[in-house]
This record gives sequence, C-alpha cells and structure tokens, in this order.
Amino acid sequence: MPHPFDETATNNTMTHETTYNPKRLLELAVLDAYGLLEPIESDLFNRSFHDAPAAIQDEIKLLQEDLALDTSLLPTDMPPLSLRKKVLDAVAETADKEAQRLAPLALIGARASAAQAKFGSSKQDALWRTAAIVLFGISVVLGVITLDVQRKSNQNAKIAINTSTNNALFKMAGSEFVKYVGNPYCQVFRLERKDGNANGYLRVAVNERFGNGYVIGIDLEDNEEIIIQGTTQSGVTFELTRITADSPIVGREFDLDPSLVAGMTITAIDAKTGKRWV
Amino acid sequence: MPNEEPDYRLMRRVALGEEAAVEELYDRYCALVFKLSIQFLSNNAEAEDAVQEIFVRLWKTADRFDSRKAKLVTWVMLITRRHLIDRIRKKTVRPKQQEFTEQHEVSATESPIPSNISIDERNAHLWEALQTLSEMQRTVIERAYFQGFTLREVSRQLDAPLGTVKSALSRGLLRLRERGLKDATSI
Repeated sequence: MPHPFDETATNNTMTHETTYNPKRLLELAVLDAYGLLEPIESDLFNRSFHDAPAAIQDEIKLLQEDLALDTSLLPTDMPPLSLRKKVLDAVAETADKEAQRLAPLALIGARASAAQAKFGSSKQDALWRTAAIVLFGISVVLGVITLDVQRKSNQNAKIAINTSTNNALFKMAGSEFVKYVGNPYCQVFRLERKDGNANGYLRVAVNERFGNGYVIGIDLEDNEEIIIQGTTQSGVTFELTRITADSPIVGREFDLDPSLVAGMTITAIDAKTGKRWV
Repeated sequence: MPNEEPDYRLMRRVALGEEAAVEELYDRYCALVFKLSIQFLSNNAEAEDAVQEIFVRLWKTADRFDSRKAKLVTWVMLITRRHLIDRIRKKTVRPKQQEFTEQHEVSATESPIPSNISIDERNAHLWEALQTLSEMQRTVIERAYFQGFTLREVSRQLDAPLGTVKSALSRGLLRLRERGLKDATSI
C-alpha cells in the first residue's frame, strides 16, 4: 500500500474543524489507533469516519488493523501461563461486584424476567440437582457450589438488566428523556469519574439543532450533587445544569444557546468535593 | 482463521459476561496485550497487573465495540494503548508547563523527563528504529506516546502548532512501522 503521508507537513491546527478531508482523516486514524486523540477529537474523528466514502472507510480500517497487528518492534516476551487465571478471576470478580451493585436496578420493572432467568434454564436446574447430591454428602463442597450459583445468578441479573433497564429508565427519568433517545440531532457524551472510581454513570445528550439537552445520572453516590459544564470552542466554560442524586436514577432537561453548541466539550464536577468527570 | 467466531458476536457475549467468551478474548489477544504492556512498563509484575486491568476494561467497554468501524484487534489494541498511556500519566510526576519552560530553555527537543521505556535488549529494535526518525518525529513520539503528554502539552513545550505535532507524530509512527517491517523481513 502506498505511504499515505508522503507529502510535506501542513501547519493547520485542525482544532476547530468539524469534518476532515481524506488525508487528514488518515492522519488522525493513525493517532486514533495509537490511543493519542483526546476524547473530543476522537468523537469528531468517529463522526468524520462515518461520513467518509466507503473506500476511505475501508482504507482506514485496514490501516488501523495493520497498526494493531504490527509486532515488529515489540518485545518477544510471552505472557506466563499463570496470567490467564489471574485475568479471568479479575474479570469475574469485577463482574460479580458490578452485578451486585446493579441488582436493585434490575428489579425495577424486571422482576419477572429476572426470576425467569434465575430459575428457568435447564442449565440451572442441572446445577441445583448436582448441588443437592453433593450437599447430601460433602459439607465443604457446599460452600463452593453456593458461591458458584451466586455468581451465575448475578450474571443472570446482569442479562436481565440489559434487556429490561430501558423501560425502567424511561419511567424514572421522565418523559423528557425519551425525546433525546435515538434523536439524530443529539450528541451524547459519556462521562466517567476522573479519579477512577467506577461507581455511577453520567450521560449528557445535547441537541445540536435546537440547543437543549438532557442529563441523566445512574447509581451516583447518595445525595451527590453534580454540576454539568459546557466549554465552548473559544474556551469559555459555563454551567449548564446540576443534578442531585436523591434516587438511583436522576435526570434533568436544560436549555442552552444553540450558537454555542458546535464543538462544545461537556464535563462535570462534584459540587461538594470538586472531583471531576470527563 | 476460518472457524473463528465473528468479532461482533464474541464481544456481545463478552458484554453479557459469559466466561467462555472472556476466555476466548484472552486467548486471542493476550500475547499482543502483554507484549505492549511490557514494552511500556518494562517490569513483568507491573505488566501483568496492567494486562488484568486491560481485560477488565475490555469487558466493561464491550458493548461499545462497533464491528462496522474497526476490527476487534484494532479495538483491543486501542483500549490497551489508552490504558497504558493513562497508567503512565498517573504514575509519572510531570513538570507543570511553567516549570518545564524555565528548566528547558536550552533545547526544545531535550526530553523533559526520562522516558518510561527502558533502553535494554528487550527494546533494542525500537530504539534503533527511533534513531532513524527526524528529531521532531522522535521527540513527539517519545513525549506523546511513551511519556504520556497530551498533544496540546507537546505543542506548547515545542512551541509548535498542534497540526504540526499531529503530522509529525502520525508520520513518525508510520515510519517506525515501516522500519520494523523492513527489519523483520531482512532477518
């Protein structure tokens, strides 16, 4: 494949562009593949990718795949065999914690499906039968089996969340929320706590055409007050709205000047501690 | 691999928390993830910790994978590189911009802090390849990729437009890859 960047460099900053020409798109594709784009640039790259002709999209996919598979300059060390179990245990442990944390949410409007998932499968029946036999003779194995069943139940609860939480969200977040879901004029920002605390989610939908928006917070800390901020392309930061976590799901609609929306960055800050969401 | 499960289906199962799917994901990509981790961290114990965190992050983000936009290996390596850069940013105490300017007036391309990558046999090929790049390309790669500075920070440090930094970085990374492929085929 010919080298895509043999031409001389340009000094354009690319900061305020809303779409990219193919050459720049390929240039950004390299930076994206190496994880070097800031979130806002990454979003813009993704949007430009979707708007690009199919041939350019294919070229980008191929280039990024080549870069991902390139091991020529990597060390030749191989992972120790013991690492496999550590990784699988780490994922299972995180999944268990997450399922336990979200279990109350799964019950919102999903009790029936959760119960069905928990007791309805033949795999579970077999497991219980096996457990009953083992329980009869060996009390030590009881503990192990019980833990295993608990973990599988948590997994089932997670499946139930995935299939039923949407309805619950609509009920709790209010009717305003619905008009932002799947709206082609809405850009959705996913915010996570900057300090690495995995609890809680914030999603901010901004309607680029009409200038209004909606923030939804899920499973935030009790009574946590979050300020949602917007930063314009010119670097001016202002408060869009704020929410207080007085229930597992909180949401609020807000208005903003449509002329400020293009290229706006959304962040959030804890009103009490000052900790940031990005 | 003709019998390999399609990317999107595997990640859907990973998102649902199926153990077998996570095992499949690990078996496919553990070598790549580990090699990159050990290149960044130069320490087996840290690299193993990072691999565990990366696979947890892959599980958490599995529902965001879009097979129309990228192959799974691209997604896995993107998450891996982001995680390793984040880890370096958390681990390294970096000078603030003002301190940096005061301390480094002699040469804009002098490295502000020691690189996280160790110059040992393990990374010999990488160091050799870096030496073949222009000074600008080498500097931006070391700072942005291996030291965890953002592109805006690098732009301010070098007093160069952001677009120039991006272009130099992109070209430098592609030249590194070409150099690596050339070396690999000449062995």
